[in-house]
Amino acid sequence: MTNLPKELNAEGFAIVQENTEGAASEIRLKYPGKHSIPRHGTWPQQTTSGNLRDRVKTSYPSSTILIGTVKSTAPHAGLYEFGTQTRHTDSGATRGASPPHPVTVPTARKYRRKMETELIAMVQRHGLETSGG
Amino acid sequence: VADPAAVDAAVIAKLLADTALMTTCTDKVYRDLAPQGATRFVIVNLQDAHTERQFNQIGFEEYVYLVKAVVKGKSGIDANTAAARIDALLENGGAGGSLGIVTGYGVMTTGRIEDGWRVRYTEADPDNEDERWQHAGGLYSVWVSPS
Repeated sequence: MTNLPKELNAEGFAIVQENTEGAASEIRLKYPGKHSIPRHGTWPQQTTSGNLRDRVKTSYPSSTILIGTVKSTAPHAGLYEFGTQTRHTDSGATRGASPPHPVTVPTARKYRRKMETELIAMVQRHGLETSGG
Repeated sequence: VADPAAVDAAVIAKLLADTALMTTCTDKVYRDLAPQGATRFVIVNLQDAHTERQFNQIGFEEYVYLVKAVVKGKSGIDANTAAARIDALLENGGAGGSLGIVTGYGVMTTGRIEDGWRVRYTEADPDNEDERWQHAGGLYSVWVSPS
């Protein structure tokens, strides 16, 4: 979208921002919040810190190019998303391997598709033609 | 009948059939989680799926998989070697052609997702400072068309 006419930049930025913030909000909702997990059998009480949810950040690095980014900045975000072989509770108990938890990838892709559809509709509304995938 | 599980199975079968990959990842290929005791393996995990409709019916389906090698140890060499092999098998249609016959589907192509496709991290074991797990792989799309 680097060659978007300046006249359309504000309208395009609104679409980018709406979808960037939408993705961030949905990612936060999908991440576990701060809560305690009830004792189960002989397992000790577990807690989740809510760090994943608290550390989802958005940014808009350019004023001229339509770019919005969503970053999950918690140190263990990648481990949560893509899985681990060792997993430990806050109390230090071993719980074995943890499978991947797809959150950011599917959410970001969903909002990107939506954003692209909306941007194409916007430029077409203004009489421009679009082509390609 | 098109069953998405057949796509999952085809991806796993393609990886399992590759001698070079299985030489590095001797504990084979698993969906989501490997069994306890496995130390060199490949994980396949469905990350995303979406459908493109055409003329009021399903035209294409896209499945995005995390495909990563997991190798226990401090060196990342074997995990990276396996990741390179995974990429050769799945990027841009992959070595040896497509996924082959997938019941209920025609396979269009496989390849890296549009960006942010690479996955690489080292996992430390909090209980054992000498222990590491190397994770290396990527995110790959499989495009299929129900037949």
